[in-house]
Amino acid sequence: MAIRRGPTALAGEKFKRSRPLRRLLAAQFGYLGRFKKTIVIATIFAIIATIFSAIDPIFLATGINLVLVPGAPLGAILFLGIIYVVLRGASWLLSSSYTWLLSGAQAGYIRSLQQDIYRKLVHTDLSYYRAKQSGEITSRVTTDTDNLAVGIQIIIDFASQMLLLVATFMIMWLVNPLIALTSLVVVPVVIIIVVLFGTVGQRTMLASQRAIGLVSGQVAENLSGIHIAKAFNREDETAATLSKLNQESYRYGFKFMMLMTLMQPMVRATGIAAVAAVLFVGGSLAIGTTPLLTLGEVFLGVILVQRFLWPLLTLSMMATQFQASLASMDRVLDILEAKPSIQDTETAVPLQASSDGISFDNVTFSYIQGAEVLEDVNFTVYPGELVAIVGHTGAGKTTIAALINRFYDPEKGSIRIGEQDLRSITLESLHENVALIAQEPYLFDDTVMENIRYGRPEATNEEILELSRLIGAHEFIEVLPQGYETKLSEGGKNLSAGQVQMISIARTMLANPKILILDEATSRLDAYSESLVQTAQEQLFSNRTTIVIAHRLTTIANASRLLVFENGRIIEQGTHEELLAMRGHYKALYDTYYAHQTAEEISEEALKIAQEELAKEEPPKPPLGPSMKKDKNGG
Amino acid sequence: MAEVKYKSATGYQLAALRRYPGVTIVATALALFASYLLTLPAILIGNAINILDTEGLGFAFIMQVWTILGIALTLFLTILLAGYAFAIITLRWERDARQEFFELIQDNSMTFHDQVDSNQLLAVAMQDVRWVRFSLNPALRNIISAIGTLIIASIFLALMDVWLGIIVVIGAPLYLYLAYRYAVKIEPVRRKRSEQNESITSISQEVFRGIEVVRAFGSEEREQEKFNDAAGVYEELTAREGKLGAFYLPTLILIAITTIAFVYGAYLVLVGTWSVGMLVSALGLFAAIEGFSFMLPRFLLVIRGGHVNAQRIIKVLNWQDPLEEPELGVTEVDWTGDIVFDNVSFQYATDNGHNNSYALKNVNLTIPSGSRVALIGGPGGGKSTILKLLLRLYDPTEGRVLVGGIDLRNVLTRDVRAAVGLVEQDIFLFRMSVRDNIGFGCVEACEEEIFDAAQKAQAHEFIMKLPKGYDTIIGERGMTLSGGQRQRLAIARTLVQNPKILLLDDSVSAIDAQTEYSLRKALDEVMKNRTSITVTQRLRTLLESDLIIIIDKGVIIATGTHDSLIENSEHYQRIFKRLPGALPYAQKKPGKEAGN
Ligand SMILES: Nc1ncnc2c1ncn2[C@@H]1O[C@H](COP(=O)(O)OP(=O)(O)OP(=O)(O)O)[C@@H](O)[C@H]1O
Ligand SMILES: Nc1ncnc2c1ncn2[C@@H]1O[C@H](COP(=O)(O)OP(=O)(O)OP(=O)(O)O)[C@@H](O)[C@H]1O
Ligand SMILES: [Mg+2]
Ligand SMILES: [Mg+2]
Repeated sequence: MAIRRGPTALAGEKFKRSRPLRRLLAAQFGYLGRFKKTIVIATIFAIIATIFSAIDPIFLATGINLVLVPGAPLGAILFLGIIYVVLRGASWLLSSSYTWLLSGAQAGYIRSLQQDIYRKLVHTDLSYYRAKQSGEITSRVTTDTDNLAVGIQIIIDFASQMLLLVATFMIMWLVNPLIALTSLVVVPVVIIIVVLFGTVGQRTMLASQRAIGLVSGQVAENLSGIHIAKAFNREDETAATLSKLNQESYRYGFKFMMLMTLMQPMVRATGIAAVAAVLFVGGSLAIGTTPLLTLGEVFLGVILVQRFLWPLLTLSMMATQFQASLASMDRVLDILEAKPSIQDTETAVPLQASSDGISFDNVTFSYIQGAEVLEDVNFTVYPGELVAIVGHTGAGKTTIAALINRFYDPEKGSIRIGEQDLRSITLESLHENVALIAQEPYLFDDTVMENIRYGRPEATNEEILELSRLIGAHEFIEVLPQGYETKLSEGGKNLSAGQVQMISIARTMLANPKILILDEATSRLDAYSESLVQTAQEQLFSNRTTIVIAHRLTTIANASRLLVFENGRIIEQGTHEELLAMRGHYKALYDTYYAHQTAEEISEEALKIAQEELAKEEPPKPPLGPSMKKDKNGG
Repeated sequence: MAEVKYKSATGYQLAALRRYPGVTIVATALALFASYLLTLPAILIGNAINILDTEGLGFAFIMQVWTILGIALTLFLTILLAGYAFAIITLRWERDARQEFFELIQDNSMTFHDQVDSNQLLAVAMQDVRWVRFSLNPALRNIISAIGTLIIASIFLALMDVWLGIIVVIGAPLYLYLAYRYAVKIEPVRRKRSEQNESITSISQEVFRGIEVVRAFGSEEREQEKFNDAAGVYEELTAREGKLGAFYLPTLILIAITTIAFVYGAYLVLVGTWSVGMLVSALGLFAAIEGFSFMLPRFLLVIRGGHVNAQRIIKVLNWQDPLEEPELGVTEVDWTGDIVFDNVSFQYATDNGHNNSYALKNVNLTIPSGSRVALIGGPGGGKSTILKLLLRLYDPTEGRVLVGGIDLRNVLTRDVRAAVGLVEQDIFLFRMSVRDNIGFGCVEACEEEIFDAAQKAQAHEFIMKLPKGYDTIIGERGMTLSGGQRQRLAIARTLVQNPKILLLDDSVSAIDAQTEYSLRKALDEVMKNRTSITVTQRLRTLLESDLIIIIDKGVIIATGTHDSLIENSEHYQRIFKRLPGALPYAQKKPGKEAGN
């Protein structure tokens, strides 16, 4: 079977069901797990209740026949009344119990599905997250699981409705085949309805859902970018765009509702017309010299034919929901069955205490196939060394950090910590030992305290306070409305950008990792705050392997060696002095641009020379690695 | 004093009906007529059976059958018309209410958006509005039919026999009362469940957005546990709601009444008071009542729930904005004039009210026309706040912000934002093409300007390398771009707007030195004779500024040129000393100063 697996299968847009019906149904029921027994019992209840309610009119009809005979005993009527009430009561009790049992099972079913999907999603490849909106991923956990639970109910209801249909028809047949046949006059109408709703209805419903989805997506995006819309005076335009989508959604919504509205009178009118037909046929049969029917039976026919219509319609209505649940199962299976390309192998071992230092060996990587972001990258960071990565924006620096965290695996080549390949290290121990301060800090909707504690859950409040003091965050946290207990909203929109960055620094430092990676970690801090952070870093992480990515000279000042990146390649590496002595790219960069971060004026001439130098596009020099590896004194 | 737009939730819930009173009345009348038509066949069937019983098959019988057929046709048209009328008025209302809601909250100032969670706003705009509509159509529409049927059938029954009438008069209110009680009992659980559903959604969404952080700290298990707890509560509530709803007691009343009516009716036939047809009619009427009863509880629930939804909506709509637009904005503003902060203090509103920390405190500032200003200071100092006040995203809590001598409070926000351009610190890009993102501020087509701005912002080159160049769609929040690429797109976006006052909030923090240099050269070009304020951490910018403002904890520490500050401001010296290369400069400085 051609089901694509892995991240691309997950990220790929899906328009059609990719699995056969049988598989989807099997999965849907397979997931019932410990609820199977409850469901079976519930189903039995539902079926008995259905049978009871199919036969209860018989007793009313018998009663009518009875009273037609003058002088019938009242006791018999009472008796029939009792049977009737018992049947209805039992049917009510059973179907209520069915609902009771089912709702418990459904709730549990939803929960176990939710947890499984969530577990899987939390471990799914990042490329999946990059390709989808977070809202859409969330709907796997919420909407789809609800759909699946409804799907289960639909299948049971389907069975009982079918049963009701067959039983009703059989009773009518037993009363009189002609009556039964007359009741079939409703069939053409039902067919029309089924076809109408199967085609136009289904289409309109999907179109309407899509239209609503567009409205909701637009509102969501406009709300999160509201400050931009305001800053650019685009309120009228965003409102106009929304209005257009809204009108579209109204149009489809109206169409769909009219279809639904059309159905109700169609069904009711057909039901009444069928009653007229049965009445006519029944009446004709009941009269004459040898009546084939009693009046009670005519009544029974009239009652039954009305019951005949509903299950047919319910069935056709269920089809839509059934389809929806299948589609959900399909999407959910995509997630549950996908093999994340990044996960622990069987032979994965924890990172050994002795493993330290990072080396990249001929690493090539691309986010989108064909567009290499890193090409043939080789470098080594020795244990305990602090290395800086510099380079143009978009050169691939953040990508390096992502690869060391094994958010992605390289396409070619290997990355090692000590002598251990990343792919052979358990993810848990990797992340315990390697910590990243990301370029885009992300905080959770929790208190400041808890956000810092995220780095090490068992840390005490004192430790957190102490660390905050050390990096200079305490000062501002203290004066927040509720100090450390201030709750952040929507990822920290009630804090300043620098404050968010500080908290994310504190969080990572608290984790106390063996290897530390700082990706523009202090880019939003002023020089003074940055120096505090650097002092703290020296104090806490001296002699630990550290990679610093930065554009600011202040940030990389302490590095023992620098790697210069350009367009996904390392073009130079060495100590600051070595690089300057090389009179290459770095020197040119330094003289013109880094130096100008200091107070040096840039003369036009120096600029010209530098630019010529940069424009030469020399082939990358043979890496300096080997020669430096020998005299392992980088740190 | 302050005017409240929507007084009561009930009024809001019924707004659709009140908007088209004529249509509503006609539609309601049609629905009631349909209820009447629906009960009529029961009577006619009874008649027909009577006719069969007494005179046999004949013209009278056939007439009954034809009448029933005629009713079927009339019923079809009546329900269709009623449905059409209800659909039009309610769906139109839903469309307009959603639009109105969005436009209103969009016009609310940032104070509002700081306080209210955007996910919650989305839920209100989509879900609550929709549920209010549901509460009218189908819920109210069907309840009108159901109660109509109940009443009409009761009248028919009462006409047939007094005692039967009494039974129904006692039974029907009891039935309705129990059904209502049922809805009242379930409704809170149901609401709690949907709130729990919202919280599951936000828990997941938060983790999915920050998945890299979760991974980097290896806290998948912890997050899983958190989720499991939430899912457990959800399970409990779902089960509780389902179980509470399972045993619908009012059905028992219907069963009881039907049975009593059956036995009593049969007795009446036996004693000769009733014809057999009347018994058939009575049973038919009960069947008609039952036909509606099974959906009554659900619709009652929706109506009750709709009231809560309406409350949620009007709570948002009635929010009072502290930022008030002037009636007639001053249009003659000299945007190249001096910018003055006159004793400005500012507090961000917090949702729980007690906020006594000031983001800005007694700020007095004069920025001379056309100058290039650098704003520096520690995290949370208030730099971004100053820029936001200039954009009139907020009004100062105390004091005034003046441009060219005019208090910004007297200028329409639209005019302020047309003249002032801000590159924000946390870049937000829309899920659109690169072209549309840069051209976001364009009112009409502006191909030229887009390319021009991209070039100036040093973005053109990398854009051309993207898979589809300017037509590449940017992923959610620009996640597929590098930090510096995002910043340059944002700068280009602001340049397209061609602002009179340019505000750059730390907009080059992720841009390398070389690119920054080219960028600044291009910006110098653009900003000739205009005022620009740059928040920066880079020394170079300080040197090139006409005015440097140091702000810390909301208070201005010092202002002046580089030269004067390095002389007089201890704070500035302290910052400056940290910058590499500062030392040689500081040492060289005396000489330079002599030269000046
Ligand atoms: N998820 C992604 N999908 C596709 N392309 C990506 C993705 N993330 C980054 N890129 C691209 O890969 C290249 C390298 O990006 P990266 O973030 O590593 O740059 P960087 O060196 O960190 O730049 P900056 O200094 O601006 O942060 C860029 O051209 C960027 O557009
Ligand atoms: N939307 C908000 N709601 C509540 N408080 C806020 C909000 N935005 C900022 N603050 C608070 O106001 C103060 C000033 O913040 P502001 O963003 O102006 O600082 P900043 O100088 O720009 O800092 P940074 O250098 O970190 O960007 C901070 O204490 C911050 O926590
Ligand atoms: Mg980066
Ligand atoms: Mg700021």
